[in-house]
Amino acid sequence: MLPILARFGPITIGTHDFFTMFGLLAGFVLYYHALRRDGLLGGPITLISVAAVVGGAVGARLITSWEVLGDVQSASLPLTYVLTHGPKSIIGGLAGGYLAIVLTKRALGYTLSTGDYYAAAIPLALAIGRVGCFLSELPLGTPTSLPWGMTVSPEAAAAFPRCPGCGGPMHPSMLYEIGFHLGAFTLITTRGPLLPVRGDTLKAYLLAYGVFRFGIEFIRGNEVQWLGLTGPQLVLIPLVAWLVIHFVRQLRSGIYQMPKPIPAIA
Amino acid sequence: MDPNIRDYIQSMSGRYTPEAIRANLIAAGHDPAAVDAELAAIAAERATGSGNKNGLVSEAWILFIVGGVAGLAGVALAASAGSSSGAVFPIFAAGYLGIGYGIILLLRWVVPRFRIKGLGAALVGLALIPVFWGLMLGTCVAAFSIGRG
Repeated sequence: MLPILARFGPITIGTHDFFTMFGLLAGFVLYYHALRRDGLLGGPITLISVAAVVGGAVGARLITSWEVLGDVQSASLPLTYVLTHGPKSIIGGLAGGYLAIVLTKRALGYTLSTGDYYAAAIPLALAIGRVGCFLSELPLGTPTSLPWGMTVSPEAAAAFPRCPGCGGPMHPSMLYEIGFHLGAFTLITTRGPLLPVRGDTLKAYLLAYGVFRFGIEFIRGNEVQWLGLTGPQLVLIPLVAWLVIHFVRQLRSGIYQMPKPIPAIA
Repeated sequence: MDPNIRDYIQSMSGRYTPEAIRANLIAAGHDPAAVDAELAAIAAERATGSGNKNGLVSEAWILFIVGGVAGLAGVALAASAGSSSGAVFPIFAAGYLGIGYGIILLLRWVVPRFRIKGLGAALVGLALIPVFWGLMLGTCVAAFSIGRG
C-alpha cells in the first residue's frame, strides 16, 4: 500500500488525490484535443466542462451518502459532513457530471451533442484514477483462492477501520476495473464512435460500465446495504435501467438504419 | 462542390456522427476529399451557431457556479464549526439551485425577446453580480435560520 506518494517539506501528496487529478487532467486533454480537431472548442464548452467538474465532485459525494446518513445523524453531525468526509463514488461522479452537462447545455442553449467526445476521455481518466484507488484503498476485494489473489501486510490493513478479507489473498478488483477501462479506451480510440447516432457511444460505454461494475461489486468487498446488494449496486439499478430504456427506444425507432445519400454521379 | 453532399450532411449532422455520415457518402461513391471539406465547413458553422450570443447567460452561469461552490464551502465550514443542524445543506442546495437556475432560464427567455443590447446589456451584466451573490448569501442565511428553527 502506498497512501502517500511523495512529501516535499510540509507538502504531502496523497496517492489517491494525485492519480485522481492526473486522470482528470489526461481526460480533459483528450477531450479538448478532440474538440479542437473538430473546431468545436470555445467559451460554451469551457463553461460546460467547469460545470461537469463541479457536478461530478458534488455527485461523487452525494450519490452514496445515504450509506452513512445513519452514522452522521447518530453522531449529531450536520449533513454537510457527507460532503466533506463522506464516501466518494465514481458512479456519483459520472451521474453528477452528466446531469451538470445537460443542465448547462440547456441553460446556455447549446444544442450540439458532445457526448462522444467524452467517450474515450472518461475511460482513460477512470483507468488512471483507479491506479490511485488500487495503491491506497482497502479492501482490494473479497477473499479468493485464485492464483492472482493479492495480500496486504497487517500494518496496512490496520490503517483501515473495515477490511474483511485482509487476512488472506483478495481479488484485485481495482485492477479488473482498470482492465475494463483500458479495453474500452482502446476500442473507442481505434474504432471511433461505435454507434452512428451522436452521443450513443458514450451511453453505450456507460451502460457497459454499469453492468460490469454491478458484477464487480460482488467481489469488491463493499458493505452489503439491502437485499444482498451494495450501495453502488443499488444506485446502478435505476441508472442502468434508464440507459437500457434509451437503447430499446433507439432500436425501436429504427434510428440506427441511417438514410442513404443520393449516389454520386459517375 | 456537389450540393447533394452538403444537403445530406446538413440533414444528418444533428443526429448522426461525422464518421457515420462520411462513411455513407463515400460508400455512395462521393469524393472523400469533397466530403471532408464539407464536413469541416458545416461543423464550423454549427459550432459558431450554437449557444447564446449575448454573453449575459454565460455570465450568469459563471456567477451561478462560483456562488454555488462558495455557498457550499461556507455551509460546510459553518457546519464543521458546529453551528448548524442537518437540514441546512439540503435547504441551501434546493434554494440556491432552484432559484439560480430559474434566473438563468428567465434570462434566456427575456434577453432575446426584449432585445437587451449595448448599455442595457452592460447594466444587466453588472446587476447580475449582486443578484447572484445576494442569492447565495440569502439562501445561506435562510438555510441556517430554518435549519436552526
